[in-house]
Amino acid sequence: MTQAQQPIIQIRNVSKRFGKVTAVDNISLDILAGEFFVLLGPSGCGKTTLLRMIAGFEMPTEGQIIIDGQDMSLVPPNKRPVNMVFQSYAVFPHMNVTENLNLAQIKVLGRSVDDAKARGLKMLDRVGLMVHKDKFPGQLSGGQQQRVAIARALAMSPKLMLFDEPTSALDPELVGEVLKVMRDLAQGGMTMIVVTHEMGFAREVASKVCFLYEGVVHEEGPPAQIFGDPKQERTRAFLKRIIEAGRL
Amino acid sequence: MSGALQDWKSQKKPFAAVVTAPVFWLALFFVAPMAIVWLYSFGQNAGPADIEISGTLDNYKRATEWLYVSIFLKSFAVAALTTLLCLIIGFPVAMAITFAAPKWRPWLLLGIMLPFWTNLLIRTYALMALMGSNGYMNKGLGGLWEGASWLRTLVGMQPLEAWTPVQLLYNNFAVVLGLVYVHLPFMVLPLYSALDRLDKSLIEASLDLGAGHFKTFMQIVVPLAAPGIVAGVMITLIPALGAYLTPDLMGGTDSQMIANVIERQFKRANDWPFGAALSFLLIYAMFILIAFQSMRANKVKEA
Amino acid sequence: MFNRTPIAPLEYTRKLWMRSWVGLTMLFLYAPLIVLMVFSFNDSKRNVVWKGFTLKYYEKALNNDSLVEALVNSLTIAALATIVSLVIGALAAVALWRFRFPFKGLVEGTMSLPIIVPEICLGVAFLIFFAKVDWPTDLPWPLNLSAITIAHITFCFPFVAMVVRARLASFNKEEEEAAKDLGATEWQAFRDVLLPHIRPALVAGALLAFTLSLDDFVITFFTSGPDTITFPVKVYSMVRFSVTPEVNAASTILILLTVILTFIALKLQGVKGIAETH
Ligand SMILES: Nc1ncnc2c1ncn2[C@@H]1O[C@H](COP(=O)(O)OP(=O)(O)OP(=O)(O)O)[C@@H](O)[C@H]1O
Ligand SMILES: [Mg+2]
Repeated sequence: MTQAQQPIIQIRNVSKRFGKVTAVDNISLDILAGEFFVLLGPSGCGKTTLLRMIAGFEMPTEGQIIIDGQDMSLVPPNKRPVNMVFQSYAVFPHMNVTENLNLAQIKVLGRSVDDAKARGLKMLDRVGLMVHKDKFPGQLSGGQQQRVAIARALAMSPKLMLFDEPTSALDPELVGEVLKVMRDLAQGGMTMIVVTHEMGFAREVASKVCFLYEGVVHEEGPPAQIFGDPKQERTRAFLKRIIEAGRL
Repeated sequence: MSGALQDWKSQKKPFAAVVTAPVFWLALFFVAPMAIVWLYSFGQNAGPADIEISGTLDNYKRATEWLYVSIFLKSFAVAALTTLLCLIIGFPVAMAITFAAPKWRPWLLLGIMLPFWTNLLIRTYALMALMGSNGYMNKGLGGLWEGASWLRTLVGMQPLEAWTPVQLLYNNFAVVLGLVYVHLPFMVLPLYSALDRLDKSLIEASLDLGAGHFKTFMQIVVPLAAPGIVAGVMITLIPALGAYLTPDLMGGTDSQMIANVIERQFKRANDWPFGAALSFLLIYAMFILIAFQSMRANKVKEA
Repeated sequence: MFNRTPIAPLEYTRKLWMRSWVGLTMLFLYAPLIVLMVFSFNDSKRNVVWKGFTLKYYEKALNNDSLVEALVNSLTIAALATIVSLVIGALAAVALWRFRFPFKGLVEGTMSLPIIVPEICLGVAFLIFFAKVDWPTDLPWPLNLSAITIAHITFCFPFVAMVVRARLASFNKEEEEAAKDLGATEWQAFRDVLLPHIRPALVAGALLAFTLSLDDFVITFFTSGPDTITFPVKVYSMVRFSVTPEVNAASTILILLTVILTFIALKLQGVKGIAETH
């Protein structure tokens, strides 16, 4: 990846306040195409809020979010070329896996039923769930549901995918299967912004890591530097706590 | 629930202590009266104050006369229309409560619930006072009328003739309005509790996948809130079908509902056996509605 | 309320059409009641135009012996019905929650019937029943209210049972067993462990029963004799003739009573708790 590339997403002096609470405080970031961008930081530092503003669920109090060269700060989520994977999966419980994958392709992108099916199955194959295509979400494990959610987002051919702690609602033994899918996606060149507490995974796969603290970007850099030689005292303290908790 | 149910035989004394009073009460003051009504429905008037239970089916036969069938159908239509209006008015209200800021939510809920706790007769009476020929609704309409008349003079046309108060009460419109007024809280509360349980990220996921608000509403919100919608519909439809007070006070001679006909058999026509038969037909209609609902619920569970 | 942040997709409550919708609905629900209350203070026989403040209709209403008597009757019936419903309803809830016994489904089903059966049918049933058993009608007060009270208990106690049973579902039976291991009798265990646990449900059930009883018109209408008038029945007979300021005054008193009761419930349980009982 060359530095001359136009960033796929530019965050320009974005702030978000909820009443008196400042969740995101004047953040500016550039994310390049194909990057695997990891957001780290203690609870309440504004990671979710930042992702939700990129997806369009929250409107920034100040600043701009430019996606693919266009100012999209106020564009509603259904008009953004961005898809989100939720902590709680958000797979539609009243539809089976195939319907979950096809509905938006048909109703939103206007694909024919056959095209939608073909693409849906391809994505399902990518996340390794071909055998479960007729099941309902209630019949699947959490890890499988999360993979369905990823396949559903992929089927919409997004330019950018957002992950908000995609594995933190999962039982430990199911985390691996979801991380594997994400790793494959990264290798396939998908641009991703990921909030995660899986430090080992982040260190291995990330192309860039950003440490947030109280709504401010505290430190930003390649994983080797952030994890190996953090410049900031707070980053060091945060990583130390995580290591003590046995997650690295 | 923790722990298993205890068999009554192992604890006869405590069991008897708790079960006697409710069962006794229910048998004496609910089952017995209902049974008498049921028996009366197969009886006939044998004297001024004497009813002979002869096993006749005449009362039910009479209930199949077009006059009564049409009143049944009409009651059903009025109740269904009321329910539909409550659903249409109530759904956005329930949505608004669900998505309101946390500090507002309890107050909105209270706003819906307070009328629900207020005396039904007083509410009906208040609405009647507003709709009477001297009431504010007529004043408002009169104001609009005069405004229109004034506009006409502006463009050089003849002014409209003077406003004469219209009769808003004592017709079918008034009955439906009154029933909606009374039953709206019944609809909003179950809708709210269904929507409140709905995972908000499902709505977000749908928007995120590109569906607009309307598509999201039809494809995600409505199917997932279906149990609440069904509950709200039943909880509105059933009392509306058996409504007595609203059609009695706000309806005209042609807005009688089935409950009014039943009342007349007892308080005026003095034909108790026929009234008993009509009562039981109304009860059977409720049972059919409830059976439909539980059949639906079972189907959903199986799926 | 007037901040400039653009409306986020799920902030439905900030959208103008939604606010207007809720506002209009609230107006629909409250305008009649507020107009009624305001004009109970209006110094005019004809209701529409404000002629000045007066309390004379309250004076009139409170000097109207039959109206006051009806109100006293209603409150007495509601109080009696609440007490009995509370006892029977709580016992029924405990029986259904605790024991397995023959015909349990039947008992359970029958108990939910008074909730479902239309008021008019229940009213008719009591009319026939009390006529059939020749229930005495010329008893001294408050015994002359017995028929109405019995009818009210019959439709109130299943609601109490429902509320109490929902609460019992969260009871930890081991606690009761621990108490018994420590030598408590059935009765002591019930009084010291189970009863405190269901107290909130009893409060909620009592308020529910009280309002249901106070509210009831149809069943009372069929059960009451000529000398046993309740407040709704009295108001009904007054309303049939005309809209009078006196009825407005009496209604305002009852509305205020409801509001006070609701706020007591609120203090005791919080809004959420009340919402859940419905
Ligand atoms: N809708 C909201 N209303 C009010 N305050 C909010 C809202 N959403 C977030 N906040 C506040 O904004 C701050 C940032 O929250 P955010 O959810 O972005 O943190 P986070 O970094 O995702 O934390 P976690 O790791 O716990 O998920 C917190 O102080 C939070 O309380
Ligand atoms: Mg978060």
